[in-house]
Amino acid sequence: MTRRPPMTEGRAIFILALFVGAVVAGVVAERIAAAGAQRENPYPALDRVEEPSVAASVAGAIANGDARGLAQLVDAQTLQGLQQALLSPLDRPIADVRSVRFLGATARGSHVVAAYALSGKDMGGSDAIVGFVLDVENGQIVGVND
Amino acid sequence: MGRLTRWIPPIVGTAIGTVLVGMLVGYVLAASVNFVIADRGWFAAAGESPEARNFMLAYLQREAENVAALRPQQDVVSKALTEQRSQSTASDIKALSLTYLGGATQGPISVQIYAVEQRARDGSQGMTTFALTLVGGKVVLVR
Repeated sequence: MTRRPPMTEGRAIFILALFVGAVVAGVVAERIAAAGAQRENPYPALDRVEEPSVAASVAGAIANGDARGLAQLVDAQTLQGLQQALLSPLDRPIADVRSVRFLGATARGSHVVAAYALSGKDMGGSDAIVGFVLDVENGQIVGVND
Repeated sequence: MGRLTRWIPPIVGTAIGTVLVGMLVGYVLAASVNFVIADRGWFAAAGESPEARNFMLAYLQREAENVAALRPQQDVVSKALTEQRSQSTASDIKALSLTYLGGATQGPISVQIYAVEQRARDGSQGMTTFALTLVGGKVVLVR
C-alpha cells in the first residue's frame, strides 16, 4: 500500500490543467475523426454567381402565395415542374409556405441554376422542407430540378 | 500488475489517468454536440453534410454499394434497379465538375443541393442538379 502525498495547491492546478488539456485533445481527436469520414471532392467546382432576378421574383411569389405573379413569370410546363418539385418528402403538396431561402447559384455559359430551400407545412399538417432548383437561361425560367 | 504499479510514482499514475479520462470526456462531448446539431437538427446546421458529399461522389463514381449504404434499407429488387441505373448512366455520362450550392435543415430533415457539369458520350455538355433530402444521415429522396 503506497501512501499518497498530500494534495498541494500546485499539484491540484497541475492535475486540473492536465484534465482541461486532455478534454481539448479529445475534442480535436473527434473533429479529426469526423473530418476523415468526409471524402475529398476530386472534381473542380464552378464559381458562384449572384441570384438571377427572375429566380428571385419566382421565389418571392412562392413565399408570398402570389399565384397571379407566378403565372406571369413562368409558363405552364414549368409550373407543372414546379408543382412536382415542391411536393414534400411524403409526396404531399405544401399547404402553408413559411419561407423560401436562396441557397446559392452557379452558371455554365448562359445557363444559371439557382437553388432554394422552402420550409412550411404540407397538406397533412407535417413540417416539411423541400429543396428545389430553378434553371434560368437568358433571363427566363426554363426548368425546375432539371 | 501490483508489482508494476508499485514502481510508478503516484503523480505519474494520477497524470496518466487524468489524461485518459479527460480525452474520453472531450471525445464523447464533441461527438454528442455533433449528433445534436447535425443529426437531430436541434439547431440549424450550416454547411455541407458529409453524407451528402459521400453520396454524390459514390453516385458519380458508380460505386453502387456505397450509394446503397447511404440510402435507407431497400429490398433486393430496388437495389438491383439502382445498380442497373448507375451502370447505364455511367457508360453514357462523365462528370466534369461537382458544385455544392447550399443546404438547409429543419428538425431531423436536411436538404443539400448540388450542380453537376456532365459530358455525354456524343460530346455534348450540360448541367444537372441534384436536390438530396437526408434524414438521420441517409439519403431518402433525390430530385
